[in-house]
Amino acid sequence: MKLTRRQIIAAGASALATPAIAADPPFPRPGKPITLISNFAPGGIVQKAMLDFQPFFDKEIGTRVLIETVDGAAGLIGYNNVFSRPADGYYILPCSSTFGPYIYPHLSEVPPPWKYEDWLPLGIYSDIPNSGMVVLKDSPIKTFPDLIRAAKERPGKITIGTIGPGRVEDVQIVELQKFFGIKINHVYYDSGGTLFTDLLTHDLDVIITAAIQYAELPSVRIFTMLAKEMTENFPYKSLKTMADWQKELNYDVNDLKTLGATQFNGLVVRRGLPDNARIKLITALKNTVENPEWRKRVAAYRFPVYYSPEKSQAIYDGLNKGIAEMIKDAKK
Amino acid sequence: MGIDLSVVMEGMTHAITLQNLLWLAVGATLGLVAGTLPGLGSGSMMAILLPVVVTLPVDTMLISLAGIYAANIYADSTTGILYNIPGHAAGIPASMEGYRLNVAGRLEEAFSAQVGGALFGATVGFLMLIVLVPSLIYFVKFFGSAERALLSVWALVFISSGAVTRDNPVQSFLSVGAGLALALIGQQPNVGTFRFTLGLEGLWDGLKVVVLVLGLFAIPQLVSMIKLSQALSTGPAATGGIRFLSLYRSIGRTLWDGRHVVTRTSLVGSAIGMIPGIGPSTAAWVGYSIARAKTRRPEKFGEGNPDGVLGPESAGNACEVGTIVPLLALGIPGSAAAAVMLGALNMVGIYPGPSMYAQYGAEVWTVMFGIGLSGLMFTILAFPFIRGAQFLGRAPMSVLVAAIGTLCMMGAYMQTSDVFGIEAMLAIGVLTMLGMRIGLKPAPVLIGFVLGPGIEKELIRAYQIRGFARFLEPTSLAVLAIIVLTLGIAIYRGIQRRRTEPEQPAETSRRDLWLAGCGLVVATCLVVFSIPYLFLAKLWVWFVATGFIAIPSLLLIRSSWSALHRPHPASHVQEATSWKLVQQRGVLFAGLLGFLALIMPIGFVLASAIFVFALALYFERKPMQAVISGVAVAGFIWVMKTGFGFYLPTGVLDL
Repeated sequence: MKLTRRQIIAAGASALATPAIAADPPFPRPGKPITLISNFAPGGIVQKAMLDFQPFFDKEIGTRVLIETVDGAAGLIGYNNVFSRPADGYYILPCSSTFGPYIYPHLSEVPPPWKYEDWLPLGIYSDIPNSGMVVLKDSPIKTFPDLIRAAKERPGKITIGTIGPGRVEDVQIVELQKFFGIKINHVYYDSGGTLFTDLLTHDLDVIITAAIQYAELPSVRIFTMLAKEMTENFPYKSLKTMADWQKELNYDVNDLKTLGATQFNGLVVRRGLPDNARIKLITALKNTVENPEWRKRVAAYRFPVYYSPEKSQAIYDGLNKGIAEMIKDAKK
Repeated sequence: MGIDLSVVMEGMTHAITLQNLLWLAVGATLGLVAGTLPGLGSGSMMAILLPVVVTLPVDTMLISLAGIYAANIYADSTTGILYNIPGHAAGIPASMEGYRLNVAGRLEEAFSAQVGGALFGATVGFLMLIVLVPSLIYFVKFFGSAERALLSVWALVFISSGAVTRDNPVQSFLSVGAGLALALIGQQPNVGTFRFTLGLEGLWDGLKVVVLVLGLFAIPQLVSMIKLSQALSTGPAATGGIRFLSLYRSIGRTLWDGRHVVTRTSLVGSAIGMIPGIGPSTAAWVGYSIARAKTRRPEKFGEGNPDGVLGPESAGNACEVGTIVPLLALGIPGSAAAAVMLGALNMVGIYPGPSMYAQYGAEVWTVMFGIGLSGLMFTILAFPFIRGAQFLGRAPMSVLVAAIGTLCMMGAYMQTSDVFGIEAMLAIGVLTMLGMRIGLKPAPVLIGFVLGPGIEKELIRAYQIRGFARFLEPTSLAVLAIIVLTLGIAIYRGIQRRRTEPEQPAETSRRDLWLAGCGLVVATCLVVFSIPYLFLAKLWVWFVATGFIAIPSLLLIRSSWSALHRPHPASHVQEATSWKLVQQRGVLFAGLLGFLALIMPIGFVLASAIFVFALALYFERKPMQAVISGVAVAGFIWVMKTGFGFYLPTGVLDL
């Protein structure tokens, strides 16, 4: 049998690849811990999620799992830090619809040292509408159309606070103004505590935040969730979504990008890790999400669902593209 | 809102069960450790313990975290009093006077003031807690961005106008200006502009406060420990100048003598704690300033005055407890530790805020009683803890220097998760030592650094919200009036002091000219390099460059220039620096740089062993003793790293 040149190359590549695969070091190496990076300050929900993963990953991966806080610049410092470490799968980062590799390159004034393509999703483990608009109970803004009307009557006078800069809320504000033809006064906060305090002091008219935490507070009201629709697992069915205002404000909810996204949470690693490490980590995440004990533990703040790395990649790609377009439009 | 006594009793009953008291002791012990180790802190320690305690009953979990929370701030100044190396920024003011008392052979007085002040402050904070939690919602409504900014401005004016150092306010302002300038580095929080990062990623988030504390205080102290080795090895820190009964007996006397100070500082500390975002460091400095103003022994201030320990300790501890008030009443965490507490409450399905008090009254009272009992717990644990810290003092000086150096390296690394933290610490250490030679004061530098970012952030945020009109609302105007009054008093006192103080020597004037010259260079660089930034990103930069650096520099030049041309008293004879001392300092720095170079290739633990071994060997220890010292320090680091799950580089050997 005569071999073509392509077959010879393929055979050569295969021969080279086989020992390479065989030469992958065992994962994890005995005694070497896995580190979950918490890229926001201690005490926040990101660290809490990492703490809840810790014992389950311990068992699933078969080594000690540590949590290391590397915070700053809205989570970007954590990404830069992990990028400076080897791409071996020993360092895992959280990401969500509010922060992640699909957001930082577009919003950071100084480009990060890595590219969007440098990160590999392990999967998404929670997905629910969470970002919402919150006002004081006695605010004259009762509904989303009230906000739009008030902003049109008094351009630049309605003050909205968000956490930032450098998070998806920046883009939500851009979209809000562009899509509805309004101008608002946007003010950044570095913590949810002071953001909420300034709502109480009437410094802010509206806050955009992870709203579910305020759903049962008597002093405030969530007038809309920034989502296209409620998911089945959403606990507060009476809350409105962006789909509820379409008729009154004459728009199609499907045209919304960041104002109509759900709030996913996932994990990523630096791309380029060995295959055995990738498979081990993906399996560990999948098994953990399917574990009823873990689901029970996170029930108060996460809404478990498992999306494969491929599906997660598609969601990340969509967000990456959408934000890039939005920022490009905003700069025009 | 009425208080249901049955709920209060239920909360108290939960707090005083044997199991809960034991966990409280565990928490308080860990809090003491966290407060002592640079770079750890109560927030991190609580986060580390959280996975363990979350499996316990809710009341036990809350009480163990309360133990860490309350005990941590007390321990901040223990090593500061013993070795002039405080654990965290909030421990610095108490360490300043405490260390002077120690050097003067009055260690017991220093610790009785520390323990007594902490207990008194925590108790006042606890009383405020139980009174105010049910009604705080009305109080917080008056403190928006503008009021928070102006309160921080008041703290800055109050502290920096000569209250911290005995030197003139101009020099003090200039040092504060240096701290404010260092705090400009990193991302501007209101608009996101990266400022003065020099193209280094490690500076994107600015300098970490612990790295600065270590650079400003610990590194110069390590160097001076070589020089002071003889004095320290025979001093009270090493020889054990305190006794159990005597310490506790003297607490009452110290508190009674300082009652005018401690009552004020505790109340002010509690009030500061209740305002989110200000924190115990500010409270401790304000406490120090109040102590200085109200002490009955003003002539002893700066030379070792127990009131200088009582004031900051009581204010800091009252503040730390005070931060729990907005947390429990409104769900607003005022510090990292409070944020972890919030996370812990959420983990067990309790969401702080006004509705929590109605739904989980007993748990709220359990936390509050736990914090109250923590004060007693850390008071009981204080003696063995101090003795433990003193035990370090009996180690050979070379080993002590190497061990403290290792802990500093660990603290700096853990703050940044990168060797950049260590590089920054060493650079700041060298600059501080050079700066001190021309009159720069580390304490005001730190004050500027701690307060600056909060002031800028809140001032610009208030301006963004409603422009200058936001500062003309009644509560803002009230705070503004207090600022003007404070500034007026400071200026009046400054003028009075100038009339009575003797002429400064020519050497001091020349030194001031150098300081002012450096100030003008820094101010020019700040203004020039900030020109391309957005308007809101350079507004504060220009204010710092002119108001806190250029103007004080020009005033200093004016006064020093005229002093140089007047007849002046003889200058102090400068202490000669021996060649051996220079050589020893050089070896210490070479050792630290070698340690830094070895961390990534061979791991932190092994690098620390080599560093301690080499340093001990150089300082005339026998080889076997040097080996034992190296193994002991490296073993301690390994136990800490493994036991608490810290991430430190492991190197090729994965150690």
